[in-house]
Amino acid sequence: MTTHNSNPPARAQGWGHYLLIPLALLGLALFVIPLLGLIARAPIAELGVVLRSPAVGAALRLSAVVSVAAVGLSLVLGFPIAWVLARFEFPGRRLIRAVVALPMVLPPVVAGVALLTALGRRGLLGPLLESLGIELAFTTTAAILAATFVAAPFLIIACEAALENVDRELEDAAATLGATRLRILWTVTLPAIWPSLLAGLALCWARALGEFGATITFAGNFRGRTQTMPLAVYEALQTDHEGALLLSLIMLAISLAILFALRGKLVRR
Amino acid sequence: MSLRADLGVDRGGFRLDLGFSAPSGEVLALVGQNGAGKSTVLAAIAGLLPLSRGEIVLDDRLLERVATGVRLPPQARGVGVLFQGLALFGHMSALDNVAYGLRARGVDKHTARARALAWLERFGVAELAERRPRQLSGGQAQRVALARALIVEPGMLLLDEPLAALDAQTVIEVREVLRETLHGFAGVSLIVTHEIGDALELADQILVLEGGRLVQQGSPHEVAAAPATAHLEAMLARHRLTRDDLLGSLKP
Repeated sequence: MTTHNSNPPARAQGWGHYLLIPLALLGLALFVIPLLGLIARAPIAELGVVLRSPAVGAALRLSAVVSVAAVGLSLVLGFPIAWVLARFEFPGRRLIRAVVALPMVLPPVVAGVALLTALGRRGLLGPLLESLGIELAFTTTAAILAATFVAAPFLIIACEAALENVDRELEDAAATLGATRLRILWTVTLPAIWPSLLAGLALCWARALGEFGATITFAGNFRGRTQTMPLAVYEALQTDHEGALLLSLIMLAISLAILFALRGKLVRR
Repeated sequence: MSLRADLGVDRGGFRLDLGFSAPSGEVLALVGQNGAGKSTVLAAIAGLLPLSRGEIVLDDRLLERVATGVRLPPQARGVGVLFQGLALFGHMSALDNVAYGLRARGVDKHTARARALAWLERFGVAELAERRPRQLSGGQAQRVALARALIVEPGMLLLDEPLAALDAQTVIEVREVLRETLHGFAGVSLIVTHEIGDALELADQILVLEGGRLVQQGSPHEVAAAPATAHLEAMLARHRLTRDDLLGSLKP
């Protein structure tokens, strides 16, 4: 009989959902074990030597320059795209939305090939760029473009979603008070989407920092010019296995530190 | 100095079609059920929603005329709006909210804030100047929003359900603030409400809207004496009941 069940609420909740916990632990293991492997095998004693080597210093500096420049470019070009997509109805909007998101699912190597065939010396716009005296392929600028290409969608999608969720009454109120559209964007809309914008910037930056495939295809692997940290890891892996582990560990530490620092700020609204 | 509105709006199967006018200083109340088109009227006059037919003339200024393609944007209409959700800017202090319209008109920060403070004083909330909207009670936020709408000296004031989101005690208090404010306001005011009691209390003229059309127009006395719709009659009966209850409960 169940009439004397001492704990009916617990019974009513059921127990099937507890099955999710072992699955969550298994999933966590999938993420954590490779990281532990990296930490366990990396020759941490040699960290100081590796950090002082000129190749690693150059790669770190270049990664900082490329990822920050890519975020800046994504903001300057990506935010307007997000704004247009969120604020205007026009034919082809869905297609443009899909095109803008495409780099997120495209293999980065394909993105690199696409960039090369468009902007490379023998690419579609190659003659035009050459006549203007601009050479992109295998330069730092190319590395920045490649990182922007793959990272900007993260910012655009975050901004577009946020812009669509802004309380339109706030913008209407500002309009009735006499504010121009640009003033409304600056004083009302941007502050309202600020947390989402920040989250989008963080994701965009993280993706740019980790960018490998498009960069090596379009920009090549030249120390000091296009060899960012992921490329340096790849190169080290072929000659100096332990060095590669250490470089990976450095990337891991930087990424984790930034995500950890931002996480609290991003989730709270 | 007056308002003349002839409003036609077609909007996805819904059709709004009504005309009314009012002399300056008059308080109009627009009553009707949800979906009658009250908010559409408000958005059309504010310039937030284009007319499909008709025209709006405020104080001899043509705000919109479909026939000649005239359509002033909300920024140029001089129509103040008290939004239903108040729409106070959450990232600004109460003071900067009130100063916003002056800043948008190019008034320098110092002057704008000084004048905003004077407006907060007028509504008795000057001590809340530095608070953010979320730190204000319903009644306080209402006063800040009123000050923000009035500081730019609009030619007309639109109020969307100004008492709907307030608790019973605050309603009485804010209704008094509204009565004084609207009484002292030189232009036409239009209050959208689904509470016939508020309309009877505050308005000089009541417009009854149903299905996008005006079904009755008259003084509170006229409307109360001969309500044109069953819905209005039911609302009036309920209003009298609660009022009698209230009066009864006050008697010893």
